[in-house]
Formats: sequence, structure tokens, C-alpha cells
Amino acid sequence: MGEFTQFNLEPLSEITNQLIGGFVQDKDMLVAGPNAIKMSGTDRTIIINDGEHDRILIGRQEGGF
Amino acid sequence: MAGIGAKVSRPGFDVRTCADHELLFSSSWPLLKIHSQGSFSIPDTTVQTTIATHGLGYVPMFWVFDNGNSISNTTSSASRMTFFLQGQYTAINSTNLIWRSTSAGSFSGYYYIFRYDMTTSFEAEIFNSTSSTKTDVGDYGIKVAKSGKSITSTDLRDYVVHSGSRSPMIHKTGTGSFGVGGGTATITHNLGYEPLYFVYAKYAGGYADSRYEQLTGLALTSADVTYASDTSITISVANQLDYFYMIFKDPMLIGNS
Repeated sequence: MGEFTQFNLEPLSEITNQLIGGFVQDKDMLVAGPNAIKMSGTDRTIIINDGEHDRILIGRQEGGF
Repeated sequence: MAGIGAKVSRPGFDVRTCADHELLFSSSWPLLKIHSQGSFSIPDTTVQTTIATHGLGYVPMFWVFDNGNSISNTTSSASRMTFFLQGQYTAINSTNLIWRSTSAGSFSGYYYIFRYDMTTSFEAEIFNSTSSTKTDVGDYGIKVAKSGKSITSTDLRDYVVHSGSRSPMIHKTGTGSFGVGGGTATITHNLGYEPLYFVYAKYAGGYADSRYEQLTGLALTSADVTYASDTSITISVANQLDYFYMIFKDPMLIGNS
């Protein structure tokens, strides 16, 4: 899990809990921040939130662009 | 460092093999960025009027669209929606977009001012100019919302970049000049198709403050014309002037598909 400490947004123990929680809840969704960065392996998608809105999406838009 | 960057293909195209013009963007060339846009009305076209103050400190590229008015004929304009690019009545300098005084009438239209200095010389590489075939349904891409907006928006105006909408990609820009009597310049682009392009002119003796006007195929005067082929654009004029051209990666005749 060391590779995720680069986000440095929460104490390591909480990040670990969030990551574990994320995987448990969504099977394939990785959430850091909380909700600052969301990554889905299933959708091959990254979403970045600016604190108020999801602002950047790289990957899959269901229904197409 | 050369060779490091990012590129995104338009939906359905393989980013590794598609043509340059099938990309949404690439680090190898800039997109045309809008500085400001708006509408304007000129109640008396005989009076020189400032349409917009941009304050960029350089002479930026611009577009002006006529909304269907014609000089000395405004009675039927309200019901028209025949927008067309209108260059001959407007000019720009390093501070303002200006309505040039002309024959009597009124006029209304729309303008775009871009963050691109019309003294800039630039030429992008051509990596691949051969069109490819869509290889998937195209539900992968990128979208970046403006500040205060969300990627859940369905309004493309809320985005800086969106895979569902092409942004003009700049292939080549440059400047040149003609002496008394004008002449003909051939600007090679070698894209293999007729690209979207624009030409602007600063007429000798026309203004004291370095104003550029758009030089379209319709031309400021019937003697000054521009046209494109699949290898070059041609600027043919009968007047002494300096010119600026911008050639895009985007083909004239390929739709947004």
C-alpha cells in the first residue's frame, strides 16, 4: 500500500481504511481524498473532484461521448 | 523534454494510429483558446466604435460574425439567422476590437477574440495525415469542466475540453508582407487535405495603430483573395500589406463524426 501514501491527504491509517472500504463497497473502486480522486478498474476511469464538483474525467463515459 | 507529453484521440479512434486531425488534442500543437466573446450592436455604422476591449497587449486573432444585417438595410434582419464570418468592417489592435466607419446603416453581430498573438510563427510536425476508421463505439475519452461546473453537465459550454466536441488544433501560423501593388504568396502546409484556415491583413497606411483586419475568401476588396488546396494556401492581393495566417489541422470537408 506504500504507493498510495503519495496522496498524503489523511493519516496513513485512515487512507488504508478508506481504500479497504472502497474496495469492499464497490469491489473495484479506489477512492482517495475522500472522494478527491476516484479510480475504477472496471470502467478504466479516473475522476478528480475539486472539493465542490467532479471536474475531470479520464476514461469511460457510459453512453459514450 | 522532447517526446514527453499527452494526446487524446476523438471517440472511436485509436490514439496510437489515428490521423493527427482525429485527435482531440496533442502536446505537439496548441488548441485555439477563446479569450472573450460577446454580441454587439452598432447603431450608426458611419461612426468608428470600440466593440470590445481585450487588453491583451498584443494583436490577437479574432472572428466577427454578422447576424444577417446588412449595411444600409436593417429592416429584415430581425428574422434572419444567416450568420456568416464578416471581416471587412472590423479590425483589431493590441487593445481593442474596433468597428471601422463605413457606409450608413446599423449592424449587429457576434465576436470571438482568441489568445493567439498574430505575430507568432509556429509549425507543428505532421505525424499522420491519413484518415483512419473508427474502431469502437467511442465511450472512452476525457472531459474537463470549467471552474464551478461539474462533469455531470450535458452542456458542452461548461467544459474546457470534451471528447464529444472538437477544438480547432493549430498546425501552422506565420507572417509575411507585400509591397506596393501586392503579389501572391503560397504557404505550404502539406497536410494532404484542404484545411480550415484564416488570413488577416494590416493594410499599409490604413491605420496608425497596427490594426489587422480579416482577409477572407470574399476579401476586403475583390482584388484580395485567399484559398486553400491540399498542399498549401494562397494569398493573392493587389495592395501593400502585412499578413498573418493560421492553418489548422482540422480538414474543411470532414465532419465531426
